[in-house]
Amino acid sequence: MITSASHDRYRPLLPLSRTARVLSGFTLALLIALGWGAASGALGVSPWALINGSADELSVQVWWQLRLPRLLLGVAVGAMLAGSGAAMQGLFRNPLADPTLLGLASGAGLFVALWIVLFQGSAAGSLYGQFAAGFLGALSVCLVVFGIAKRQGGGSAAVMSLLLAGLAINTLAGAGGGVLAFIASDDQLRQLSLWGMGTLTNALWRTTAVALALIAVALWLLIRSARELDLLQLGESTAHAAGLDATCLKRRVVVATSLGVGLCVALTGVIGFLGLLVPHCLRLWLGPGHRLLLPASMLGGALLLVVADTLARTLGAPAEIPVGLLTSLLGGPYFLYLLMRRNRAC
Amino acid sequence: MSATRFARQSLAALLIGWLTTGGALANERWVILGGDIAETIAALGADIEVVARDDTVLHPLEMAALPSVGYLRQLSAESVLSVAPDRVLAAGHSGPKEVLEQLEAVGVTVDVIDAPADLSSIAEKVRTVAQHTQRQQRGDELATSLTATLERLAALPPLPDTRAMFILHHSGLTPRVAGSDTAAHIALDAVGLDNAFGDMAGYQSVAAEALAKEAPALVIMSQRGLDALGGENALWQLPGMRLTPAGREQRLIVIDDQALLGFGPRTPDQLFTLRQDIEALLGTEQVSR
Repeated sequence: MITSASHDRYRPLLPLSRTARVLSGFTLALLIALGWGAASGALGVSPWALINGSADELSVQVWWQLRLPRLLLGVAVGAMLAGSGAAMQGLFRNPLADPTLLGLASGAGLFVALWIVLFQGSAAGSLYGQFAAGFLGALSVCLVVFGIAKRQGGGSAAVMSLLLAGLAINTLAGAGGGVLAFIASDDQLRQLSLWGMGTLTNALWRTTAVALALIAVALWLLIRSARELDLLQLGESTAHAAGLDATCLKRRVVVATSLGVGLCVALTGVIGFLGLLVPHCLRLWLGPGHRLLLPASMLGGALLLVVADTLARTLGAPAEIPVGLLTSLLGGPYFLYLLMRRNRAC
Repeated sequence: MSATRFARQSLAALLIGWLTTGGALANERWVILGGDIAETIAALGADIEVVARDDTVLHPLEMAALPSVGYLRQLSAESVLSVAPDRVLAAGHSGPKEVLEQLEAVGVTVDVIDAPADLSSIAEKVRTVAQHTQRQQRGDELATSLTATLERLAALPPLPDTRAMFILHHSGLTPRVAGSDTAAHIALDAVGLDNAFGDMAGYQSVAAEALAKEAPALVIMSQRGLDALGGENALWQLPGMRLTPAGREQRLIVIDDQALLGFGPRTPDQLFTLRQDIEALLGTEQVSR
């Protein structure tokens, strides 16, 4: 598997029944995971008690004010990260593209950190500022990486230079974060460290509602690009001959992923490897067609993050394990395994 | 005011409190976040039912024996709610703020005691906590006596010029030392010492050469910090330490960091204790009582 989702096996349309089967299966699994997530936590609130009205006032409040926004945020962030991963892998025609590896997430993180240190303002104002900072950070990294990818064309050289670019950006962002931590005040430092770990703990309705709306827009932009991404797998010139406006497609995917990833990072910190792991496994299983792969990745990412976050909330209760730690523990070894397989293939 | 006197006063306050409260707060379940807040509540003898605390509450012992809801800077709403609280009394640096917001959304009364970390705010903190726990009169008395103690401390004759350093703990290869804008800096200043590292801000790692250059004549550490470092011998073995007057003379004062740096009701007395320890160590003939 040297290059991306096999160009030669492009299938114009998956049988609808299969698409429907897979997506409804994922949806069902996600609903089950949500049910499990709703029922578990430091406080035992059973969904049945909520449904039949036997739950006490505190349980009802906890469920509505804490658990529900958190579950929804998990769905949105998981779908966004995995969907971005799938779309970027299609756009770069490279199975290793991922918001974490390419440095989008850490770039967004650095901008958010800068924003916190430079303009720490009121809570409400600062939130939208952080969204904007995350978006700008992810966007600038995306453009840099894109420039590098364009110069390299396809092939394994491009994979290498993309990964190196990601490594460089991650290193730079890490160093920038270090500098910021050095000059930040005690208060700012606390804010920095909190979202740096990747957690859904800060889910509040007022932030989650905004995030859900914006992420829905980004997801819709990606879903709309599915057919064009399929065309792009044929190679730029063939796709162009088939009437694809590649520039427009790239612009749309870059803006959508930057918006989504920047927003996720501003709200929840860096949750690693969802964007690599989920689309990758699903491509092996479902094949490269983006019309199935994109929505399946989104549902799969949502499923994985909801499950991981429920574990994060319950494993060490009453303390919480940062969910970013769990996803990286899953994703890191998988990434190593992929690299080893690539080397064997070379 | 000695520790025994403080204990006596607290006990008396507890007794009086027990005899006089109308039980208005008696049926509410409280969670206390912040060591200084917990100490203030104890000193006020507030008659409230505290059901949980956070990791920074280590004193008094009966408060420290309660279940903990985690570390006050990294709270999770569900773990606080798991003890079914009615009220949360939190130090200003509790957080994240979103979690406090979540608690309020669920219907818990959250009061944040936002006092700046300096000596002059101790009295104000005591009065605020007293208001929340309906112990205003006792709060006024305590605040007045704490202010008086601090004023006595400030009125003491100056120490001979002494450069001191406060080591927080050991981070990797270098000690983390208190610069300005830290509680330790305020404490050093209050007892009449010069902070040898006052030019830098915050707690920073300091290299061997900087130790030699700043030449502190005295090291101040907490027992916990010293234990983490591996004892007094390990302290003097730190690179560069032998090049300082403090290292050559092995001058170390061990303090109770919770009591001294928490800026709670025990801090003024602890400052006096520290001042006496310094005088004993430096062999000055001043009597600070």
